[in-house]
Amino acid sequence: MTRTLRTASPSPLVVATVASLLTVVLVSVGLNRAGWDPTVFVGFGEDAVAITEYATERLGAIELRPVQGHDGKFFFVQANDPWVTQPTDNAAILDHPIYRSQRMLYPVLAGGFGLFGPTAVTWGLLVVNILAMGLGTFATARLSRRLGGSTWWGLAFVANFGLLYTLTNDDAGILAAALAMWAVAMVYEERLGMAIALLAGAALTREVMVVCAAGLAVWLWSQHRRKAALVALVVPGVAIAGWIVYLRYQLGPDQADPRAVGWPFVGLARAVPEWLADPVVALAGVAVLVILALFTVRWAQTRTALGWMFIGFVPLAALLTDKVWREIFDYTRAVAPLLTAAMLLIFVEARAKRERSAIAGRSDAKVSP
Amino acid sequence: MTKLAEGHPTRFLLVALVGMLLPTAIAVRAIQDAGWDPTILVAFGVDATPTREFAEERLGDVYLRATQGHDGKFFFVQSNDPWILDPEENAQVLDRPLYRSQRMLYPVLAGGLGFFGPEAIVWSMLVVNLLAMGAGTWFVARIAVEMGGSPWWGLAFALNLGFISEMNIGGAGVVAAAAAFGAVLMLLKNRTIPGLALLTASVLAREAMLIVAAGAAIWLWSEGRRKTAVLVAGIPAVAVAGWGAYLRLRIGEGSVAAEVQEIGWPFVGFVEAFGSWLDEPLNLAAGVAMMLLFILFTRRVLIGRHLVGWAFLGFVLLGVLFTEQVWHSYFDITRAVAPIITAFVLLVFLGSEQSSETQGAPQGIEHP
Repeated sequence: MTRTLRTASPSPLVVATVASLLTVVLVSVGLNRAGWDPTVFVGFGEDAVAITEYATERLGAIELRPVQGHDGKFFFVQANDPWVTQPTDNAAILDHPIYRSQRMLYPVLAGGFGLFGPTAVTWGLLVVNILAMGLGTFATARLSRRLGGSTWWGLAFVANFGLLYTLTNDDAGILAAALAMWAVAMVYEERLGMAIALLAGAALTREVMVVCAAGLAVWLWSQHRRKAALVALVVPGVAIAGWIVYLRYQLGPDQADPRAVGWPFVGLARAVPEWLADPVVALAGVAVLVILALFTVRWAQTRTALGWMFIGFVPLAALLTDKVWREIFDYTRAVAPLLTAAMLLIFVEARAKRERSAIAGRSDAKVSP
Repeated sequence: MTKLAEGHPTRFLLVALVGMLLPTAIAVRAIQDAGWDPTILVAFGVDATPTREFAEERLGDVYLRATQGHDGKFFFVQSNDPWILDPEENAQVLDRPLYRSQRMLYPVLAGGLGFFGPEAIVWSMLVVNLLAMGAGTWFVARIAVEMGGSPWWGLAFALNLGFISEMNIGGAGVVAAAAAFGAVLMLLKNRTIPGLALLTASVLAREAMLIVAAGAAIWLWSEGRRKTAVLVAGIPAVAVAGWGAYLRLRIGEGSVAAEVQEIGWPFVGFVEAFGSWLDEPLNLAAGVAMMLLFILFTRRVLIGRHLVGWAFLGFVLLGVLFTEQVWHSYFDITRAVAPIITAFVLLVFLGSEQSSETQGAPQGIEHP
């Protein structure tokens, strides 16, 4: 496994503290402007009548966003009944009850395992995300140090545009990405059991994170650790499948899921002409595509666990519909975990691998005549 | 197919053409959305009555943007009289005549040296900016090769949000920056006279580029090229002063400094803008990213001591002095410090192993 090449940077805890402070400052400024009303981060929508009424009944006056608001409003509902024990009062008002409810870990934590009331839930949603920013930064810094880079690369987590967007909308993406980065760090520290448990947690936070588990399984298989590969694939899969079975028992038959994926590249091809109407969207789109391409190249060159665990986001990106690809807000959130992983793979791991090759080359040169 | 060598001229041309693709596509899309009215890229404002009436008298109906529009409306006025021969009819429409008129190169080019009529000017403002996009990309591609990298790094110019925004509003920043990067390239290659010419063009397009001249002069001085350093610091300044003196003859007495609204106390603008950024995460991300970029860029310049760094280091100082008016929106702050974004990309990806000893002429040797 990779050994540490350089340690001349602060401890991961210091970097995580810096990230947490930055996050707290950002959140505090937002709260201050809203009169310290945490519902400003939930993203209740003016036109999302059912959930807005649900929230108003429980919280009184709330901050409203234009049109439909954002996903935080669903997590608020879920966090008020995280174990789905009273679906008719709660989950029934979600747009896609089973689809939304499969993302269970964030509402479970934000809802204090079901013990918090609605006001505490609004704070819980925010606090869990702040803690997840710190946790994710800590894990990324720790991983970077393991790879031979500076721990300051941990800030690639908190500086991730997709995750910053997520922070402003009480979404589950930060927790999911933090658990995934933590899992990668554990893989590099040979704590595979912990890594698999964390990946199960990530999948229960955001179902798409199963691609990380699948990537880890493929990498382990390629290392001839086939039993471990099967465990890495099965445990998160069973966790999410088990939860969905429970959801169907509680919520009834399956409903149609919102379609976020379609034919490969069709969504992208439809979105690109729309990007041109806004230079920021166009450049951000080009930047994301370049990062995806560079990540793929580095993955192919290095074939390390880090690359394998996030490469699944590349084909996933190709399948995203134009609805996702049209807005910076959506496409950066969709591939957010890869954006942080890409910084490490492109700037830290690939360089460390070159350095190790150079060291190995010099060693060979010494013994060769 | 034969692979083109990294430094082959055709390769630079290809990079420049590719660099022009996205800005061109964005411009075409904007014009299409405006019913094929190119005045959308001049950015007249619905509330900017003097420039609006000036344009409507000459062009008929024009596309109007919200509130005050953007800087292109001033350059349109200037392009109709680039040599300030009739200031009563033209320059007096400007909000700050002396301040605006000191940026003379872009209107001179867009106005066809004074020969174009208003209709042609609307198109030529766009064409000049797109050509400048290509030229800037070409210069940066050549700098990248000088630094040991691929010419494709030239795209760091054309894909710079600040430059694309500048093109989108008919601003002079693309021309100014393209000339500045051209000057840096020439100085790196010890071609002092073209370097001086491009630097002078740059400061006449945008007076803030004087800090590029100052930064380049400091670097040249530290390299022992003292005669060149003095010329680099002096000639652009003399050109700006000369044009300024002419302006005062044509427009009348006044102080450009008194007309500047974008500069204030250090960090005050950044702090004041911070409070408003949470309404728009993009502004927040851009503002924080710019401040982070200033820190990392300064560190990189001091470590690497490369001309590309020194030439644009002054933008860091300028950045911390900008008022809330500039820091408020990603659109303005990325335009204001756009050259540093491109320079940063070059330094980070290509400049880490470069020491000042490997650049330009050996110490003490002058190539005037």
